Amino acid sequence: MNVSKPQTIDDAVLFLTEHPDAKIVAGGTDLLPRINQKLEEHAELCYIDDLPEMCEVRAEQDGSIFVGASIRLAEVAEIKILTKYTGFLQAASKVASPQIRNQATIGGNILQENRCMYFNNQVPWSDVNHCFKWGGKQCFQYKNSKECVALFQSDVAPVLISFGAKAVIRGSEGIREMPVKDLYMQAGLKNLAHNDILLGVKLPPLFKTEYSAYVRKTIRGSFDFPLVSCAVRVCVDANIIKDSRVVFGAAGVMPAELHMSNEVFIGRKIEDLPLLADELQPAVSKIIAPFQDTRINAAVRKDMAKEIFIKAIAQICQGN
Amino acid sequence: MDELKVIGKPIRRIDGKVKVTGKAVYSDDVILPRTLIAKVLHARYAHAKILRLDTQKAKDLPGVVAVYTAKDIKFNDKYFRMGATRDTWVLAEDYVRYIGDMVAFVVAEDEEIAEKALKLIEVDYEQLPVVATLTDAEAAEHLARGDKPGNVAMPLVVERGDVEKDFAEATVFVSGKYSFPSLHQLHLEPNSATAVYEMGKLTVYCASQVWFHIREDISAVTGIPEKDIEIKPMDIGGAFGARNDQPLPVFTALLATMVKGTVKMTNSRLEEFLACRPSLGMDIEITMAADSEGNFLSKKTKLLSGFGAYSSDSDAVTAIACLRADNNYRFRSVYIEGTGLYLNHAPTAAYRGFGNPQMHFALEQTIDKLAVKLKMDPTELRMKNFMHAHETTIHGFKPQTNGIAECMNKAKELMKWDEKKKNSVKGKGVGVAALIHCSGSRAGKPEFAGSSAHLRLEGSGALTVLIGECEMGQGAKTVFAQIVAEELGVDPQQVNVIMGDTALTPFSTGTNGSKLTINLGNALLHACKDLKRKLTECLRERIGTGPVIVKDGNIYGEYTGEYVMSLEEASARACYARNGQAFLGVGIFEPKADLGDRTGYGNLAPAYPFGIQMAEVTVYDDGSYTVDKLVSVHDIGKVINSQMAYGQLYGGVMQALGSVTMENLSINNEGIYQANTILEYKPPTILEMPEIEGALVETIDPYGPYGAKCIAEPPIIAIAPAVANAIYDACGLRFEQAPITPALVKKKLMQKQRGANAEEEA
Amino acid sequence: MDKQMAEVKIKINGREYRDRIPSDMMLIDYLRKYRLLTGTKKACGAGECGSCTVLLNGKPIYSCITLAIQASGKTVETIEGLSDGDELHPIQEAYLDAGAVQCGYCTPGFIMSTKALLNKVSHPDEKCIKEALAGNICRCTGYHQIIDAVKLASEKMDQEADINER
Ligand SMILES: Cc1cc2nc3c(=O)[nH]c(=O)nc-3n(C[C@H](O)[C@H](O)[C@H](O)COP(=O)(O)OP(=O)(O)OC[C@H]3O[C@@H](n4cnc5c(N)ncnc54)[C@H](O)[C@@H]3O)c2cc1C
Ligand code: FES
Ligand code: FES
Repeated sequence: MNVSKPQTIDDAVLFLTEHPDAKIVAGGTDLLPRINQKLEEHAELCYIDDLPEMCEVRAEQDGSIFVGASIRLAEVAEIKILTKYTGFLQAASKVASPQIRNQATIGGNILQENRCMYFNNQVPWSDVNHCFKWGGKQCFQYKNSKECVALFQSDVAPVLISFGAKAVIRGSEGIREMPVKDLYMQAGLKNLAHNDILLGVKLPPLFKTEYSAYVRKTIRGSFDFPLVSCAVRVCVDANIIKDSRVVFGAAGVMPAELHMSNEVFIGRKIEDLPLLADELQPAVSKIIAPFQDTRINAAVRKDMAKEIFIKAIAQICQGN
Repeated sequence: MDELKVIGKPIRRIDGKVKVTGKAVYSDDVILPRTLIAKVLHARYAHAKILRLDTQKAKDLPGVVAVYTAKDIKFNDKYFRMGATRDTWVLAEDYVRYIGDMVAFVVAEDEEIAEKALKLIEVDYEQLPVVATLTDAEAAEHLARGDKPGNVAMPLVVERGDVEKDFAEATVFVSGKYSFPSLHQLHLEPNSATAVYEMGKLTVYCASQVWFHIREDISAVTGIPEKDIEIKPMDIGGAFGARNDQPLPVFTALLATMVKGTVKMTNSRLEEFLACRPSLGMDIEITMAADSEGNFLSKKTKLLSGFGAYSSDSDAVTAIACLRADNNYRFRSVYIEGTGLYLNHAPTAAYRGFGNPQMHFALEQTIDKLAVKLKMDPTELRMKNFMHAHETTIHGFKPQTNGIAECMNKAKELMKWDEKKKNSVKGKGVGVAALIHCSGSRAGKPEFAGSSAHLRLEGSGALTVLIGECEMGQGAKTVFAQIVAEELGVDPQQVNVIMGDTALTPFSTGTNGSKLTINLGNALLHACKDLKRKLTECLRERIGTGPVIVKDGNIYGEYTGEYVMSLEEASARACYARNGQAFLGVGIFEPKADLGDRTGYGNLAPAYPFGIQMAEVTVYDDGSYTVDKLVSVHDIGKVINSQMAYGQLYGGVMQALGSVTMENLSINNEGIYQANTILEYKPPTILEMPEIEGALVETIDPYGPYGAKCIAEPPIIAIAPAVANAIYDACGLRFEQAPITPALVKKKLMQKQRGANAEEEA
Repeated sequence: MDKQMAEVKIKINGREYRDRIPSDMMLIDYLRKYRLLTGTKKACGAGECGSCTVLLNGKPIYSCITLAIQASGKTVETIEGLSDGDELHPIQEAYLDAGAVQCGYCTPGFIMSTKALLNKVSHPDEKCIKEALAGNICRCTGYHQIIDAVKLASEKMDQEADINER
């Protein structure tokens, strides 16, 4: 494996264009473990960390905030202009472990690979459990599935979606933007060209009064990926809910949005939120993909989703 | 006895400085010139017939030194001396029987070439049905090994007393069906070894609990006599029983011999999970019979244990699981049917507790059920039935000390048991479990039960303890330094302790059975006495000091009490007077313990540790639960080093907590370990640590050095049932299967809330 | 095909090193194999245990999932940088005094995490200690005495600071 380190963004795009099999590495905490564990192999890596365009955090003229893709998860808590994006801070502070948060980037987090016990706990020398992701011909989660259904377990992506954040992308044609939620496609694919580099994300300006919360469920207090997680954001004016977004992580191949939340919440009083949330519980259950891992089954995952949704709502109400 | 100066004090670990500075040398830190790297090709399936095996392409790769398969290995069937059944091979011959099974070795100039070569080895397999669970193995519809009918590796049937009669007399019965999974010991340091072959002699740098057994194994597979093999002990990054049977150092030595050079092999973490020796998973059915007052009368037990594909220490572990726990209580009779079964899993062996945690999980929950049925406090029910010191237990143990009642009182106090029982809070519960273990149980060699130690005093004044067991983190070196310090009055930090260099130390059967403090401690005490006798004799006869004694690091007149000279001066002068000869104190300890008869009856150990463990939990409506507090009180005899004793206590308790709440290898029907990474296996992190209160009850055992017994294994034994009992106390649900994951609790709680299956529990 | 090599310039424990190494080398392998700093340990190679923790620009990271070139131009502190050969660092003293070391395999990683913590917070409370050490696994000690050690280290470092001020 060769690792190259282009000195500028232009060089990086050029390098990627010229090396169609090169894989981007930023913090490396998602990609490098799999390489070390022999779960995947790459002939070329393109190391794009430390490029100035990607290390910035700045307030844009329209009030939105650009957060560079190379910003470390541990740094998020230290950035003043982000303090009110509560859910974002919570999510970034809970990923993996302190060491990983010092190394892991925002960009890498939202572009991380999907995970599944059949793939991530594959025995590389065996050909049992060779699933789609491994290059095999079947899915062990859903026996009849035609494609990979591995879970997307990013902690940061659901909150960014709940804030309506945009991804800022530098490709061979220049810079473009798209909603973060549009990055995700079926089978864990990302809506990016091979030579696209994520420069950062843009958080829209906050509503006058707005609350956000992120709650996740794990087996251990540290290291573990979320079994399921929930980001909630509620915008309020004079006690009346004006807008809301509820997004679940580890819910399926991509973050799952509870679109019904606005139908139920908008125009109602913030005090009524817990009651309204109860109404939504059956809908929560529906959007969580039935997915099995070594510790929980599909039914329990759905129940946990409801439980953390209620917890997140409770946090919002406390913040109120 | 004079007042003790060093024993009982929290002396700093003597091997600590190198560990906090990063200077300790673990096996993978060994870097020698001209080292070749070896790698193993493992089985593609958990069970298959090898149809074709072609290594030519791998051999042709530049940089590859050798590629070997079973047919290249002369003594291929000689691996592993301890398995009673002797049925394991170095490399698979016609069949592979678990996913970590070994098919070929590659030796190459570096790791990358070796890895590449592995991929060039061609193997065609015919897949065979995989026997993955104990239930399947027992049903024996398929065989895990074609050569073992019924999948049975070991049958054990024991009856003591008249079970039928006692069952007929009994009025109360309880039963349960428990299951405890195979666990990974997860010492953090992966196995690694470097072996140097030179003109018919072998030197092997590695970590092990059984240096001399490793040497035997190496001799068996290489054909090199034991006297020409030297095992150099490296610092050991944990063991917990897993280093009682280690293929890796043995095979590294074999490869060094075959290529006539220096070979290094290091396991990846995945190989640690798949190609080492996890603990035995067990399914246990118990029915207990008691009278209406709560006196235990009898018990029937049926146990299935998973041996994996080949046998290792699994037979000994199974026997201990079958019998040991019973000895804590006054049963009139017991009937046990234990069956070891072959599975297409990694061979299984020792893990801290040696089968005892599995059985305690079952028995201590069954006792709790009896307490519920009799509406008795579970602590009282146990107290009523405990054995006492000097009594002979149902399987022949003869403990001279037994502090279990004191342990119970102390544990109740620490847990505020009575208070919590009286004012029970919704969702909160407390649970108790008792434990018994052996201190210095016989292991390894049927020929003898004891241990030997040497203590050398050189002219320079250097004092060196030579012992054939190992320091794996448990603190043995420090304990031995303390004993020498106590006996000679020197600073413990000045005592050198060498553990396990086979060229220097006395022979040993290995570091297991919680035997070091008691057996080696006693042997070393004898060695100290022997050394003192030899030295003072020499001083008297050759230096003319008159009768003298060694005290406080000096020589004093035996009757005058006057200072004569320092120990250092004495060693120099005495040594020169003997033409440079150093003094060698020799100590032997022959415990009053027997091997047990064919049914396992006998006084297996010189002494027995006891303990009480308790848990407090909160179970929430949504099914999650937290372990809020653990109490662990142990009768360990005299405490030699409180800091280290508590270190063992906390460590064992947390391992046990991991096993009952989270840890699981999650082996699937294909024989694949779904939890084959640390991330997925889930050992507890610091955030899982509840409040832990430990206490030590000091009984002074006549057979222990200064009265000491042991602490290494007991703390892991009864936490799991204590937590299960606490969960029952909190929510009325009984979990007979470990680990009790929050998801499992949630599922059952929801079932209960829905009213479904509510009665199934009873 | 020959491996692509890369220049790295890394300041390790106060000394600057320049090496030409394979471009895909992990930091831990560079430290252990090129610089012979074997105090940094590998137990999983996948960011799951913390044994390989070193400080990169003062912050703890896992050297097993960090490329050596990611550390180029930066400073790295390893366990070998703590004591001067005669005297132990107060954190090392505290680990010994508190009984926080058993097999010692996790110890270098824990000590580096502790150092990063105490550099930032001189008097951490128990919760803060647990959060800071949550990326390190110890299988032997059950963590209890490690927490004691961190508290003790914080006291010892205070005393040392006092002495230095005087
Ligand atoms: C033990 C362990 C536990 C973990 N737990 C969690 C957890 O709880 N929650 C969680 O969310 N994650 C977790 N992770 C995953 C990972 O650490 C984080 O997601 C991290 O944020 C990834 O960031 P990185 O910079 O290290 O990614 P990298 O590994 O560098 O990159 C990840 C992916 O994104 C691509 N990429 C990165 N940057 C860019 C860019 N700018 N443009 C285009 N593509 C890019 C890479 O090609 C790669 O495919 C865990 C990892 C480990 C090892
Ligand atoms: S070895 Fe780096 S985290 Fe385990
Ligand atoms: S001391 Fe052994 S792993 Fe921590």
